[in-house]
Amino acid sequence: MRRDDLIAVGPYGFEVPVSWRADMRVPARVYADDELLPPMLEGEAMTQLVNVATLPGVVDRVYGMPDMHEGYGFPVGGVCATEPPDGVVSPGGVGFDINCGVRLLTLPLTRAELGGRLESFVHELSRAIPSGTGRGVAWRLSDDELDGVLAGGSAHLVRAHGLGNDDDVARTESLGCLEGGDPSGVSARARDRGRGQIGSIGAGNHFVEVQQVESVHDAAGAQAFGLAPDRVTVLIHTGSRGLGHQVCTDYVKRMDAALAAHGLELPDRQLSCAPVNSPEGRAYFGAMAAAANFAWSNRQRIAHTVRGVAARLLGVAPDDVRTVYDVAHNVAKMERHGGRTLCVHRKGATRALGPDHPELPPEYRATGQPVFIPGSMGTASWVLAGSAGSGTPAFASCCHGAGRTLSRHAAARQVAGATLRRDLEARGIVVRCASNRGLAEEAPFAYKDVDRVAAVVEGVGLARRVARLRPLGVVKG
Amino acid sequence: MGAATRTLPHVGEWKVEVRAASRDEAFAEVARLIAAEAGRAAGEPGPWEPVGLDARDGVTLLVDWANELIGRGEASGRAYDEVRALAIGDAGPGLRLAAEVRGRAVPDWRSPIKAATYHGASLERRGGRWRARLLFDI
Repeated sequence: MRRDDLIAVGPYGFEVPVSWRADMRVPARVYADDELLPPMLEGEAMTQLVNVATLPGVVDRVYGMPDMHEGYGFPVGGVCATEPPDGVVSPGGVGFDINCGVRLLTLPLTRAELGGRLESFVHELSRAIPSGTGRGVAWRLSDDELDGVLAGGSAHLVRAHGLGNDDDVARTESLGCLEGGDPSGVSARARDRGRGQIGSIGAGNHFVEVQQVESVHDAAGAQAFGLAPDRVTVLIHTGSRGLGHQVCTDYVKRMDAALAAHGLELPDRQLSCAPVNSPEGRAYFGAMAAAANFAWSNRQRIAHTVRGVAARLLGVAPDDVRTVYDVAHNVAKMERHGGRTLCVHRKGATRALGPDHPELPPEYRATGQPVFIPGSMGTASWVLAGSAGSGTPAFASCCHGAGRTLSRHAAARQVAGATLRRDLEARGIVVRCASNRGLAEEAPFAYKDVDRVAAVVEGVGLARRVARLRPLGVVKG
Repeated sequence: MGAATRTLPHVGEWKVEVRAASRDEAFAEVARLIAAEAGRAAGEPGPWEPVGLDARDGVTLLVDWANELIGRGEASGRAYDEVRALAIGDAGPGLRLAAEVRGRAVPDWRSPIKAATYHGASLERRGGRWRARLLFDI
């Protein structure tokens, strides 16, 4: 696709009109600036967004966030909503890592107060939080325990197992539990993949990062979120691990096999889908909700581990390690927008509720929902506050990261992991990563400029910038 | 000539092409490359385990085969890099795969592979050799 194919909509909006391809049902709009747009036009990202605009029951328009890049089926950074009864739900619109997301914690310490204990703090986190499945399993769940997690989410971990506090639950999207989580819809293979993975981060771009608040851009928002200048924070990025991956695999296959029965023809098989209210759609929703609940439980368990390390090493009381918020960035949810109940798909995108929304905890009603845009491990991350009213831009969504511009293999070809490790450490960033190649694949230059992405988000009105966080140490899966 | 694998450009995921003398060898190579991502295997191979899959066409069978090995491997903590008695034949309107696989335990599981996707998947015979393309979510 070329720039000339797009219609400019305001300073940061670019739209593919519905007339561009005969099978489009709605327009496709991306949010970008002059620097972020060209990479979106390379590869398949725009074609994938246009493909999403063909889904049955899709409403209004489909959106590409400023971090959008090529995925499979849906682009990463894609948002769409469908309306029952014709509207479909697509497992590919959620992705394999169901409820991959981020949780931000604050410690009652400044960078200066952490002092020379930074390296030992990061090191102990790397020892206490497993990255894979075979090394130091944090907790191998029994069938009953797993059912409790799948149905009850992180709220279940807090209330039944004492792994956290009520504030954690209140400051988690959907209170850490999607209703309708159905353990019986999760296959034995999915259960076996996930049984030993609660409390682990996994491989790829997942991480636990220790940071400090470098600058505050919205004093009232920062105060509400507990983000004072120089405050130490911990950002947890992981999802539903093998359990979620298998749930997606199972239901993509099931829906792919049922496409003809529903009379559906798609431009990409990875968009396989079924009407929300069909047997396949309902079954997927139950299993996806269960996997989402597993993911929230995973981040809750990791937060518990962080608290344990902070208490042991830094003398910090567990309840003084506060959850700012926990938000999903791969999920489909039934939400109310513009007086309609819609199935909103966010694939590499987060919810970003504006002020006064009833789903927000009281302390965030005046500011809006905390939104996180993690950058790369060598640059920065942003905390923002949702500024959209319900039903305005992109179904109250925001981007989920900086977005890749370079493939993992290309990044690894351009820098040796050992060299990157030395570079980061020379800048005072403590790195713990078992694989030098894995480190190289996530090199900072493989990502877009996170400051530019955050500026576009604010310019569009999706969210407003609250604070910029600088990395101090990273534990990579 | 043995099977050969190369990585194709994709900004976010792992797109791979396998070329092999036969379709069976292409499937076996897919097993090996998935196993190689799991990490360092240790000890003796486990017992041979039967695998049976039905699919409507060759591409679907390829993706389902990859996903079977990804899921089976992570659930058991084994890297299934050995395949024997692999047979793919007609079954009604589609295809049926039967095989036996075995693998060694991987104590420190490192695989970044979440799943194989249908997106851009292909399986075709070209110039006397078989070419398979898969996109893995990593």
